[in-house]
Amino acid sequence: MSSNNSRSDYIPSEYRVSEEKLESVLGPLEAHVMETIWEMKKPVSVRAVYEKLRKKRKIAYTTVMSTMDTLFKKGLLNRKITKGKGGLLYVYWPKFSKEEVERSIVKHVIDSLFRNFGNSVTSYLMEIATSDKEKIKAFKKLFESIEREG
Amino acid sequence: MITWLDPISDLTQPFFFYSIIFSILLASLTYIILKVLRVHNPEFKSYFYMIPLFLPLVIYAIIPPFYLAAEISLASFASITNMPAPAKIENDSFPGMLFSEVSPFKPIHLKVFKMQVFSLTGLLCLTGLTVGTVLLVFLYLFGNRIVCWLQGIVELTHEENPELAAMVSRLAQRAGISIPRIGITEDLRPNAFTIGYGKNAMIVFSLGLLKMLEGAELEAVISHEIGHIKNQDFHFNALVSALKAVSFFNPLAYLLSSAIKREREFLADNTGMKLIEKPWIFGQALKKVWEASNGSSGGLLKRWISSFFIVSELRHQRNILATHPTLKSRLSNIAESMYHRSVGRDETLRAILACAIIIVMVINVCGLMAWTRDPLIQIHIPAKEMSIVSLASREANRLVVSDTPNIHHRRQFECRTFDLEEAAKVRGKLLTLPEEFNQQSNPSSLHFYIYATPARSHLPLLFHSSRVSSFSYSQIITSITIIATTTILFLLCCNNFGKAVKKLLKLVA
Repeated sequence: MSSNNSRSDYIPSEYRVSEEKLESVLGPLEAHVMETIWEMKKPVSVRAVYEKLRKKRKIAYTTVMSTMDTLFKKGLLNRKITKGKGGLLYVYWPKFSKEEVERSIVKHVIDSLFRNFGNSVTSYLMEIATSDKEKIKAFKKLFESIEREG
Repeated sequence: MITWLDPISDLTQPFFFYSIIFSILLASLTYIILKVLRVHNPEFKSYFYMIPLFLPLVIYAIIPPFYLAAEISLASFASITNMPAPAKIENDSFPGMLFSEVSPFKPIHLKVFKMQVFSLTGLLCLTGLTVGTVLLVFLYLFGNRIVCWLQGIVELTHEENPELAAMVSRLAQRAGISIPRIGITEDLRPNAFTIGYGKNAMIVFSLGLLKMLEGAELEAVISHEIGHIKNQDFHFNALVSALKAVSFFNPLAYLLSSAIKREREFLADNTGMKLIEKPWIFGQALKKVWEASNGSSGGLLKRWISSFFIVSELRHQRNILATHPTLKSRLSNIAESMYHRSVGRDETLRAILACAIIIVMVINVCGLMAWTRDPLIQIHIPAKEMSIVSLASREANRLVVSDTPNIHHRRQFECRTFDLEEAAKVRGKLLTLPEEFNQQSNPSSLHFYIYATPARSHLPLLFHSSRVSSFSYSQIITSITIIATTTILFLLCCNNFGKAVKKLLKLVA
């Protein structure tokens, strides 16, 4: 758990191709909770998240609590003990912004694809590049800009 | 017109003075009587401690703490009589009273004089009454919602934590109450309390408690909270808070209310103990919670506000007015209740005896007050000059006019009684004092003390007082009686003195 906290970026443990957006790496509820916490933009208690989620769907407090605990263990959330309503309690805040998480997912997934199926990835990329002129233009622009800077 | 009283006379306003002094007297006597008669049952004790808190209400019923005292209209003498018109009507700041001097040589202005004597202590009493009533209504209407908001309580459905829910339902059924709702606060330190009453009652656990205790220990804590629900402690808490607000200016109220809450804690312990198989486990759980909780949670204000709504926080507080007994006394109470599971018949009898003594005392005190009225109005008028005075009093049913501070001290002449039924007819008009007043009076000047007494007070008056000094005689006598009685009883309570008296009695016999 503590090793997760020292990590500088998020490493998804799995990637489900059939799912959409964040749900490809997180459970549906986890994704929902993460979105909510990003929206709230400040350290929040479980209760605050629960009350926000409850407006949209039927959900139990304990479920939100365990979800947030899982997200903390996965290294997506930070938490600390502060004085709040009712006494000393945990507040959670996102460790990374939504963009950072998305980048990490892309980075780790593509890295893993290259590592495992490098040849197939390259040939597939070639396939895409040749089949779509728009994409060729985009690639050309990218390379040109790299050369100019280099 | 409103005039302010001077502070001392303000403090000796009967409703204020008596409500404080008599409740102190009653509280100390109750304490002593319970000690002497060895009434230890927390339920009995909590009821007994309520009586002194109720006393101010009874006193206000007898002596209403309204803007005190007098409303008097003095009209022209000359216009009605052929006497030389008095010139000056002066308002002296005489304690609570109007002091008017009428001089014979100058013409009086034709005007009606109305005066309300404003009393600061009266305002205090009225504030207390208002705040108490509002608080009571507030507690019942919005109490739950406010405490849920303040403490961030989340209600758990019974499906969410089936284990806990099953435990609560089982114990509630065993206690014969409807199954309470379950709530949690996010506090990481162990704590549990109850809010609401009847079907809306909710037992609230902190996350810290649920993490720390399980099985039999958790069951023991639940049984304690269910004890609170069964004993209707929400109503008790609300009532005590309201009564405390009524006499918020009386330090005794705070002591009594925390004593009552402590007794209710003991009682809840006892009730809870009967619901579980191994009562000592509660002691164990309590000790764990005690050791884990350090210091207070949240701001002082928040805690103070919460204290009105929350019944029985398991966590302890460290102050003199703590509403929770110390761990040691609770553990010994638990140990004791394991052996004596029901109240002995002896103790019930002793409690009834104590109750009888206290009721007699209260009746005496109230009777004393009903019969002891301080004069409402004092009028100083040069002899022979006064023949007509118009009086109107909002409170009095009967006015007694006398020339001495002591009505029964009829040195010079009979005191006169005007029936206010009669006076009501002439209210605003003028009322003639009988001839004797003039004829028999002291030639130089005459002091009149006009007493307002309740209609039913045909019983012999015990004490009469004037407001010549700030302290009335009755108040002085009451104070002395109180001090003497309390001292004697305290001494009697001390073993040595009691033994000495017994020895002395033996010797005499």
